[in-house]
Amino acid sequence: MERYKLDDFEQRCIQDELPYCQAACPLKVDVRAFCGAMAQKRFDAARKILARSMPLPDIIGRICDHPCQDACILAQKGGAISIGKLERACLENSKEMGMILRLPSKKLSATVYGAGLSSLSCAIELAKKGYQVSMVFDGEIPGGRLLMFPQEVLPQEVLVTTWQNLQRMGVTRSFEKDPISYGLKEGSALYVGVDDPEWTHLVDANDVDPFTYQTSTKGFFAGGYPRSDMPSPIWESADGKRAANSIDRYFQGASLMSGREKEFSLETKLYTLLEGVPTLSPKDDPIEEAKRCIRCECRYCVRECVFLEKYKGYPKIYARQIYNNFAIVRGSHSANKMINSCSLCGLCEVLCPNDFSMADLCRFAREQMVERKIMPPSVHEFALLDMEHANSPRSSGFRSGAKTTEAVFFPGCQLAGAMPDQTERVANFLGEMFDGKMGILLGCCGAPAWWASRQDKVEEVIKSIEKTIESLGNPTLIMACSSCNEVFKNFIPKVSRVSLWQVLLERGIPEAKPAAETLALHDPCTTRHEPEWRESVRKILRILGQPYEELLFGGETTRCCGYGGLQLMADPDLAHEGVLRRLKESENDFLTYCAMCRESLSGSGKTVFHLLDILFPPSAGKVRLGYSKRQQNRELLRVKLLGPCDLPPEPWDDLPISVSDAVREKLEDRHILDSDIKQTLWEASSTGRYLISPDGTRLASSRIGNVTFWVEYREDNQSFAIINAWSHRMVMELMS
Amino acid sequence: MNKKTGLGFHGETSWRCSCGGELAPHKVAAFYLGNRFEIELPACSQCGFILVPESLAVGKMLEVEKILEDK
Repeated sequence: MERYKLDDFEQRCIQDELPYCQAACPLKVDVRAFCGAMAQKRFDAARKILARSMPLPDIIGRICDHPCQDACILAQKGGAISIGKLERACLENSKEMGMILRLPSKKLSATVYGAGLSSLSCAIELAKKGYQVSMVFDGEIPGGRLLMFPQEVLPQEVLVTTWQNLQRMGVTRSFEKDPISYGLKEGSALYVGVDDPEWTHLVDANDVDPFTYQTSTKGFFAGGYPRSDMPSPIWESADGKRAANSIDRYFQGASLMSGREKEFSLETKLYTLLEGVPTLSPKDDPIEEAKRCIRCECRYCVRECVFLEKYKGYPKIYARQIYNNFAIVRGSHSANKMINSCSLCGLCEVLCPNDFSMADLCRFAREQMVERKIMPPSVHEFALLDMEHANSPRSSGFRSGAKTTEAVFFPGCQLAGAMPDQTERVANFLGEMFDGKMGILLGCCGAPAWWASRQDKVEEVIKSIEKTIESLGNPTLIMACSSCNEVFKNFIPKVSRVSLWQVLLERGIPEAKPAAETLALHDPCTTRHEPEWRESVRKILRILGQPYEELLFGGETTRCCGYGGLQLMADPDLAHEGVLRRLKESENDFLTYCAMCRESLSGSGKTVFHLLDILFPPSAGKVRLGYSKRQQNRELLRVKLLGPCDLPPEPWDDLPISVSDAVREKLEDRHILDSDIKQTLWEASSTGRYLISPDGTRLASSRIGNVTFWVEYREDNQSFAIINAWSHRMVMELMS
Repeated sequence: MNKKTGLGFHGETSWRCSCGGELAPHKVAAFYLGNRFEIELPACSQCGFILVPESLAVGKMLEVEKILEDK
């Protein structure tokens, strides 16, 4: 992964952008953290947070004109946080911070003119950096206009202590009156704070750079100009601090401007959702008021995605972790699992105000892993083998229409596997509608290979499909599955496609009895950018009189069922968590129009209908079938719709096995197919090699592809009763 | 037991081999993704049939496979 690619991804995620209050503060005080500390009554910690950005928290905290408050988005929810009041409360309740740390002394010196807040701020900041600072001001102590504040607002002792602290830091007093005629010595700089009226005459406001605060005379800086009719203590202080930063750069011979965008900008790109935030009016008690702060952040995508939530960060951090995953030379590629667990569903991109796409990032990372041969071989192998099965002559094939081929029905491998009878009935129904002008194409579209970033395999599948379509005279494909649609849209966009639902709307809907109860409508994630698909389904439901409920996260913001992107293969627990979260969104049973969604969402406490379950009601119940059954179904459907294939059956095909529900569940979790079991049993029978236990059960083993399977079974007259099965990928060799 | 990986199996097994041989602990080489470990597993003294018990296959062995895949 190249650096520029990382930067591009990182820049899109706005979670690290400053909260609105902090962005609006010229000193960039971390108001969010400050409110957090105040809410916990940690006054000393809160004071430290102020001191991190404020040159003189004891003064500014008491008189701050808090532009942050105007930026607080809680103004829309009962009222902005009274941050100014909280600052005061913090200072009144916290202890003095003691000595301020100072960098080792430098020989370079600066003279600071004026007694106002900008001059004091500039002086303390330069002193902290180790420069020799002398101040020129009138009166006993510096303060200027600050001395006019009422005692209860800004006690004079605070100003006395401030001057004492400055002196302790090495700041001296000078009585040099005219900086210009005095001239600038080498290795020195000066600052004039015009917020002290005494010194305003020394500088022409038009001669001062508004960002660097330098005048046309090098080394001569000025700040503290009023920005409105009212004096602004926070801006005066910010001017002094920023000018001190410029003087520091000037002394170091560095650019006065470069890399200071964040220091100057008052903008933020942060996006904080206020949905669900209670409306509360401001509280008198500062602690209660601080508790109202919602600690603005984005994390919108994270909140709405089990995958993004699981890794405890946010996209910007994930982009960095993925970058590092490729940068390591030795050690573990610790982000592999994360990269492979994204469902590639695209919800984050739709939610993100800046269109950050975790799908793009993870897809790109997967491509790199495959290219560099570091993709863990076990993650996608099972799904890819299932795809191979769906595209083997036993499950796939095509036929043209009896007369011509205007259209071709492409049910997709999941519908064919999960709902073979209904697929057959749809094929027959459409066949009649098209009056001998519709062909059929069975097989997998290549989605699993695309999700696994196996470009070679996608191309192989797509080329074969393209060739078939061409040989049929480029008819329109009638698509039942939106995932297949997404694949074709991406790889063979020129091929004409139409959704099964659109065709039914146009040609006629079968007579059907809707379910009596209201069903929660789950849009498949691959219809996110297919409004016509979604609308066709809704039209059918309305025509049928099927009551349905729109989910809050439906349509363009629908969620994935956990199968997308092969999430289920990389992290089955996460996929299951996503299913449970989805099902919790409604009290009702669910309705979808993707066979894989129905399969994934089923079996977790709710009945999940496919639209075809309503249009072509099944004879049996709507249950989860599992991998083996789906493979068998595809083969049977192939025979029914296209006739038997040319391949001879495998010798173990007809071995009778019986599997209890409990064992079946284990086989599914462990990705062990009936065909693996039968082949293992057949090999054991043929070679006579197996193990026997005292109670007569047997244990057979067979290496099939990259996996060694173990099957524990009992043989009776009629069948092999499967007791247990497991597998591993390591290969064992006896040492002599 | 391989000290580095923790792979291996020393539990009692009641399985016998179909060839009539008894299972006894044997030194076995385990290979995965170009890595090789020497471990001890029950194997038939006569025909060399090696048993990989379920607990090992779905436990430590799976764990090591995943670690090697992420290397």
